[in-house]
Amino acid sequence: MAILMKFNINTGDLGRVRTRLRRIRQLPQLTSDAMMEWGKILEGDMKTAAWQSGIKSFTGTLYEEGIRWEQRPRGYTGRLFMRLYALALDGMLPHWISVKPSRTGLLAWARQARNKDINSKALAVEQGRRKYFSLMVKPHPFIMNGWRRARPKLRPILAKYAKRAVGG
Amino acid sequence: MATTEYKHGSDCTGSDGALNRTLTLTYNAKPERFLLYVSGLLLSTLSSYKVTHQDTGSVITFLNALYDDMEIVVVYDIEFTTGKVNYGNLFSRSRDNIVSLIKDNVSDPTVSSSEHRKWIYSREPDVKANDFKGFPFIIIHPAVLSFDERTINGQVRTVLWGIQIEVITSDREFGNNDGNGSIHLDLISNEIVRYLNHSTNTNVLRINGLFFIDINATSVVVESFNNTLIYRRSFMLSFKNKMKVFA
Repeated sequence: MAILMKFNINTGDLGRVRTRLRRIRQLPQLTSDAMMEWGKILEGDMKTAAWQSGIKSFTGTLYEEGIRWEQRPRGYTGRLFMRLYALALDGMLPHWISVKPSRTGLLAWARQARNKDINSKALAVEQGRRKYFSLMVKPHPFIMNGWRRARPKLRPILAKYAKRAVGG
Repeated sequence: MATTEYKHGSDCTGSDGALNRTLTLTYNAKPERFLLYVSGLLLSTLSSYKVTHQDTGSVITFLNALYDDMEIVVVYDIEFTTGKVNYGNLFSRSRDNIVSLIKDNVSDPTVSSSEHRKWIYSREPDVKANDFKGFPFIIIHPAVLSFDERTINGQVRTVLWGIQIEVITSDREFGNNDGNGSIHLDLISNEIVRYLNHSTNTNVLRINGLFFIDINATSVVVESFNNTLIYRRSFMLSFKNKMKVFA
């Protein structure tokens, strides 16, 4: 019996279709990659927004692991972790606090403060000439700013990865 | 972008006290903004030294005797040069090509062509700093890199770049440009898209190894900052190339 027709799916248009189908099969992985890329942008934008709202780096670990995006390499769920004090800084009401010797971090901050009044009062507390003094603290809202900045970037990133998978 | 390098005579080639000793800088310097101090004295280019500007970093030749214990301070602007992306400069050259393209084509709407103002950054500038030159400004973020298909020996791979450009304008801008935040945002964005899509520029990018440019713009985000409104739009650029990833 003679061969009437022979097909090779690795050539021409059929080859292209095959490549495209292989890429489409990668879509779940690419979606996960897209989310990771956006998550890192969200993390960066949150840190920038926190810095712009006036939160200083020496008050904690916010600019290191204090804000971080976590996602399993092939996971579809990503989480933005944030230290609890960052949430407090973002949403607290203005209130009075006492600066006293037992609050060492706060006292150290007060000793470095630019405001001479706070600085001298902190020195008096440190030297034991004064038991404590009070300060009014205000919120530093930044979470919504960071979110508003990062949210519009999600669609272009997903589009980029979808094009990579489907568009070839 | 200005940078300062602190060196000693011992960092130069040649022996202690010799003539024509050379010092290679980390980056290529712009000839028009170049200051060289030796032992606290500003040197004149006519009789004291000469500079050769090259891609791998400018080279200074000291014409007079230079001793190992002399302190050398060099203040210069880094020259971003366009050039072909290869496996050794995947991050730096891809971004430099975009910076150069934006610098050469997009004009600052707040100053005339004869004036100069720093308005392109690599990260969010400190808007409260004394040397901040005001709104509007552009941030060209460092490149993001990923790899796709590869040959059997792994030498050739599909390389994918992502570069984010942000345009930030404000209703309180440099000079007498108050209330123009939204207008300037659109003007700058128009120019960015126009020049990135222009066939001449896409050809230049292609020659330099950045193929298949794709531009996606985000919606405008309006923020309140320091009692003023800030407008922000991002462009997500992507490129790809199938190229050697090691020698």
